[in-house]
Amino acid sequence: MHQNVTFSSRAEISEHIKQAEYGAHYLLIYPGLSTLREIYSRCIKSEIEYSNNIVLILSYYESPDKLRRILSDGSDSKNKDKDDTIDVSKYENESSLVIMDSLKGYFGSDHDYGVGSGSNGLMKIIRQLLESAEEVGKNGISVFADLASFYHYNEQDDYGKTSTDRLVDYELSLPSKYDGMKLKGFCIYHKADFDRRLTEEQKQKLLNHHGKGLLIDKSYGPMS
Amino acid sequence: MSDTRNNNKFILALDDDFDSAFVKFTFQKHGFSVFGFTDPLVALEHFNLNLKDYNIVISDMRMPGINGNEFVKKVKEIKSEVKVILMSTFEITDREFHKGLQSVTIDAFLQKPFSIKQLEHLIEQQLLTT
Repeated sequence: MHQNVTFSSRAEISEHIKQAEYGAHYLLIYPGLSTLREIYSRCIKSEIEYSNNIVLILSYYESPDKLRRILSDGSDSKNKDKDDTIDVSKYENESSLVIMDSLKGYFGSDHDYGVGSGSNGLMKIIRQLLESAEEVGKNGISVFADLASFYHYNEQDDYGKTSTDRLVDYELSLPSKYDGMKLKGFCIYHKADFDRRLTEEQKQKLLNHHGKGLLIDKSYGPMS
Repeated sequence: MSDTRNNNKFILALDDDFDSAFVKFTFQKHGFSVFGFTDPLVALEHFNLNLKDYNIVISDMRMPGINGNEFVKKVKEIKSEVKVILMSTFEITDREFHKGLQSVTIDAFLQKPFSIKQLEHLIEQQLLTT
């Protein structure tokens, strides 16, 4: 059953993500990059070190290298909170952490629409990660995917579908709950994309289709 | 060169508070007058209201709410002769160039990270052809 939960601090939302059960398919709306960095810093560490999961991040607005620096140095490099930092190289080398550009993850290395060829490829990666989690004694996997890559080429395809139509179709093609899978999936949206690019009907469809909508009660700016 | 700098204002539309503040500071330190925005729609509104002031717009490629291609297209619709420099941390593939960028007129592209010298050189070049 769908539920929206609104948060006003990174600690609350991080705790909620930590507590999410396997099978969860949640939608998370963040108000700005600084907030997302804070969430990543806290949640990725927790998912790898405490939940013993493999983490896959599909980032769009941050380049993979920048995200690596954020996770290594903390979300706020001026006020480093060492409790939130991780050894990115170590975790990437042992495949506990996989960071990809969302555009490549969803649309393939040549950024081809290919009617979902990229997203099929992504499902293959997820299945492989689930298998390797089992082989190396991990409990499961957590996927944080920024869907903004669907807007990268904002144009109609040969069937007259817009990038928003393709995004909604893709989301609705996924199950509301990953039953029987050791998978936690977080579909991540920048608030500006969610507010400005989707109709009210599409917003409701997307929220209703996910197990939970995690909303952050702050507009465009850093969280406390 | 200093006249060129003093007589030209730029609009910066970047996706990141820190990058925006850093680039803006660097520009100002080198004598350029810059208005920076992290919300591209606000940048467009400002540009529309202050058309005469701007000859160059510098924009990120990946921005929330409206992406770089859409932003540049709107900027050129408002003032076709304005010079647009698009920048990105991400590599631009041939496909991306042909699919996304060819439909809009980009005057220059800058791969991040870049040095202030590269940026200055690019801006001087664009101003010479204004």
